[in-house]
Amino acid sequence: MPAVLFGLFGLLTILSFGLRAVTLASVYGVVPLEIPLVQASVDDPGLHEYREEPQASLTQNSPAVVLTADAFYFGDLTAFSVNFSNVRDKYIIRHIDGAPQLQKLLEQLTSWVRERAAHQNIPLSKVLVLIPSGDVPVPIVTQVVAGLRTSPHFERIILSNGLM
Amino acid sequence: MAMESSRAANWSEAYVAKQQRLSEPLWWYPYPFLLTVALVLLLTAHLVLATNPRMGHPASLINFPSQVRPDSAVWFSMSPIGPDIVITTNDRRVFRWRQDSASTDEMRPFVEYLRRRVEGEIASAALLKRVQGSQTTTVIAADQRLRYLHLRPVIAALAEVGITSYALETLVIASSLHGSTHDSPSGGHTTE
Repeated sequence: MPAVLFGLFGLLTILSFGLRAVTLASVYGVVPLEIPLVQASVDDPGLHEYREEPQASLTQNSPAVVLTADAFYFGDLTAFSVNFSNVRDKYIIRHIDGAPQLQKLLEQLTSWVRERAAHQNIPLSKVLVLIPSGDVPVPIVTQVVAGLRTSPHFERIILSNGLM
Repeated sequence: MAMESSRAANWSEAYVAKQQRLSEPLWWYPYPFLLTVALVLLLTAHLVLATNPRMGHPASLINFPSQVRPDSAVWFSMSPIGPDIVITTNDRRVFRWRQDSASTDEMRPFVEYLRRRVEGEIASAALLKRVQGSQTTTVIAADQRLRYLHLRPVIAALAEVGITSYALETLVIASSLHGSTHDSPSGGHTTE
């Protein structure tokens, strides 16, 4: 009988540890993203005369990064829209053995936007448009967004629906 | 006739065996004890404060250190189950549509649900006269097996109902909360 009670006590201890392990809350984080808005201010003459002002804007010179299964491509939004056929305004960073070279992208992208700001008088934009292709796994997209947000130049990342 | 007599003999043998067993004292009857243990386990599970709120949602998240925020008002997990994309929300609603679906009609109930949630949150914030930034961010717990083409219709649904701020959820390893390094997709390490 003592052996049975001792065994049951041990079983209860193990079950308690198991219960604790199962119900312990994990720590969850988020990688923020945004959907751009079209500015349409509403007049507010009656109350506090509140007026909305955009914190950042997308322009034709906003940087854009295309993520495919083979490489990163980056340039400005014009390069991936009206000048899509022009091969001289886009830059490519190929994946090595399928692994995206995110650090290299960050270095090249940062130096590119800084050089544009210094020599072409294009203001630094805090908004970056990421255009992943449909076959890219979501974890890769998540990590690329998180990596891009580590740069002080890209505080807001917009996920695009794709190239039309 | 012979079969009936053997069946009666079996019955009488069983009756005698049962009678003999019941006449012996029983020192150990486990079911009340096991019932008590089960009740205590259930009560403990409901009383433990640190219960994992994501239990019961099928999405398997990536382990990746990112900024930790309080829970958002609108949260849903998204995972591929069989040929379908299944969405489970934090108020236990389930929506599903085919992975290869080209039509948005199958997503219509989900879009209407999101619209109702957004309207409810706006009304709640207006009544409280208080809005928290993290509460207005919609959090998507996307399964690791999903591809971006599965996520695109959901982002379009968010845009349709007027949600402008959303986030992809990751599972933060506890040890990485104190450290500052994380793996980049290129296999190298970046420092925040």
